[in-house]
Amino acid sequence: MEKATRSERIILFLILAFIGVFMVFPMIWMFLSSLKTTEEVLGSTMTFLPSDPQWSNFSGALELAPFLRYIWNSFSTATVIVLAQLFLSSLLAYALTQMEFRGRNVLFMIILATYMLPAATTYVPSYIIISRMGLMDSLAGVVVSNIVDVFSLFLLRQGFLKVPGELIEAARADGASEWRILWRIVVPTSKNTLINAALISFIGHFNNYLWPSLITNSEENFLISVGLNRFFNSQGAFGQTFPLIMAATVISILPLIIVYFLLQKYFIGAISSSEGIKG
Amino acid sequence: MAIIELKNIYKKYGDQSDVIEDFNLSIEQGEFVVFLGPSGCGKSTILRMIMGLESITSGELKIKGKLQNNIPAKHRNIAMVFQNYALYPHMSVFNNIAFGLKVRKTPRKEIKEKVTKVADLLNLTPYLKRKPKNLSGGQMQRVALGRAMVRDTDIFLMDEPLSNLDAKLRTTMREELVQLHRNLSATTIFVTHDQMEAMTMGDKIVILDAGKIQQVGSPDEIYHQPENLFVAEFIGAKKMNLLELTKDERGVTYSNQVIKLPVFEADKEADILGVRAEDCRLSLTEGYPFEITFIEKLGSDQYIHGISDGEKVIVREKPEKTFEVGQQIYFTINEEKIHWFNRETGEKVRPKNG
Repeated sequence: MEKATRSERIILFLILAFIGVFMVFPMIWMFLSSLKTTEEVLGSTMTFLPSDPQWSNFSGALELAPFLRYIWNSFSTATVIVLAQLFLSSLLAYALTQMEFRGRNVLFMIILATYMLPAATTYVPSYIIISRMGLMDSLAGVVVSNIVDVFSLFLLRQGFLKVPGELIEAARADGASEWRILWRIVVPTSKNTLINAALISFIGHFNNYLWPSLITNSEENFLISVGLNRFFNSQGAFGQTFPLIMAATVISILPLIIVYFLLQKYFIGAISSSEGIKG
Repeated sequence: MAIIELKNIYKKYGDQSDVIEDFNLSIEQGEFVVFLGPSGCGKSTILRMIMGLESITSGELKIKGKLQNNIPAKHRNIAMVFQNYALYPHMSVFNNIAFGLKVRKTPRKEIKEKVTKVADLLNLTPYLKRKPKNLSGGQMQRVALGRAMVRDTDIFLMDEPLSNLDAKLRTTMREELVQLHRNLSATTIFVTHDQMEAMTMGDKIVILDAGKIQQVGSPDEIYHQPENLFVAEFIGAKKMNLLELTKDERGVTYSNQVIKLPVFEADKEADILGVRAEDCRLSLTEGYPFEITFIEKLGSDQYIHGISDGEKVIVREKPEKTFEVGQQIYFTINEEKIHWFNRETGEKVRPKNG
């Protein structure tokens, strides 16, 4: 590729900077709004910075609803779901990539085909299954209904395909069982793929709203997305509590922002590995 | 007693034709056997079948007298060195070497002892904590070797283990491998497409082409007594000169001169004369016509390439003699060193009592 000239680079930078600001502005606005008073937010003159930062909005929001509980629910269920998904997907992806058996490709096609199914069509049958299992309105229900994930299976399969066949053969020659080859050779060498899959899945399940809102009913089982929404709706005088809602929202996205800063380098990989697949 | 026996082995992928056809070989305890052949000749396939990485379509593979066809690789207790070393990238050198022992639930102390000993032998001690990506090619090669040596086995399979090394290192490693084989006296099967490697290392060389054994023999045998045209052309720094003979009323001729044929075994006919470059001489006065096209000076010798009656011929000469490209001279043949072949079958034709 030709090297961009200085002026070209400046133009490119300006465009990207503009898009960047455009994308991040709602978040900044949310954060600033969470520090304003109701009058500042809804007043006729729009102000950018809060004149007197209302840090008390945060404690106020936490008093109105158990947001920390919601965050813990989201965090713990997403963590358990991710671990279970990675475990199960690894097993299946290994069989699909490293073992030879009749109908292997057909099996993979069938699994992929289920991915084409709109999630909404599965809600009713899943709802019935979860209820028969006695897992309605429980975090266990949220976890169990999500432990199998075609997308993470797909990612892992693609990752496992990249493991050099010689490595697996060398391990077999060394006398290793398939179980050991999976956990000692294939999984460690596909570490980045696993982290990518874990990140995508974690964010998805941390933010998941519709399905958890259908099967959870009591406040102590709300995920953060569900809790936040209930909080919106329950605060009848919407305008009066706008800064509090913003404060609650800031609290709710805090864990993801922390995760993002800790694992930044993997995010790019996760996004580029899924592009063109998730659409 | 043969330690490895292959009987009527066939290998086929899907509906394609046979990759390996009726392969028969028995390998003795402690032998260093080299499978030599051009790429795609099936040499690696056979090795992988012995290891258990490739299924056997039909035939019998016996190791120490026991049928192995359906025994998975991990139970065969054979060590293998791979062409690209196949080191586990996330493990240190120590763990790479120790993996096969850990798998077999060897006690920790014993693992440490064995790995230390092997690392010492291969000069890897300073690198035990490094990851493969921080090693040079030669070091990776040693680790791959160490991983095989540490195992409690007496059969080593090596699939072109030296092909990724530079020329100098390859020569050193070749010597080290031979030395190692002498010390361990383990049965070794070594696959290569490099005949120098084969000739310098093997007790026994198995030459393969198109999935079939062409000849089995010691380095001397395959060089001096090639069984067929393929071996004659494949082995040797310079391929054997092959002169096509014609028949007329005077008998068999080459370049219009009658060639005296020996008496062959019954029903056999020879129409190709084979002779190595070192068994020919150039002459200014007598012999078969020879026009020099190219002179290859190697210091100790020179190879004179030329055209004789439409055929390419190479003659080895002493370095002090001077020749010129374009010179029209003659070459003679040492009649005791002639090999006779039949073009149609490609086989060697033996003189009676010869």
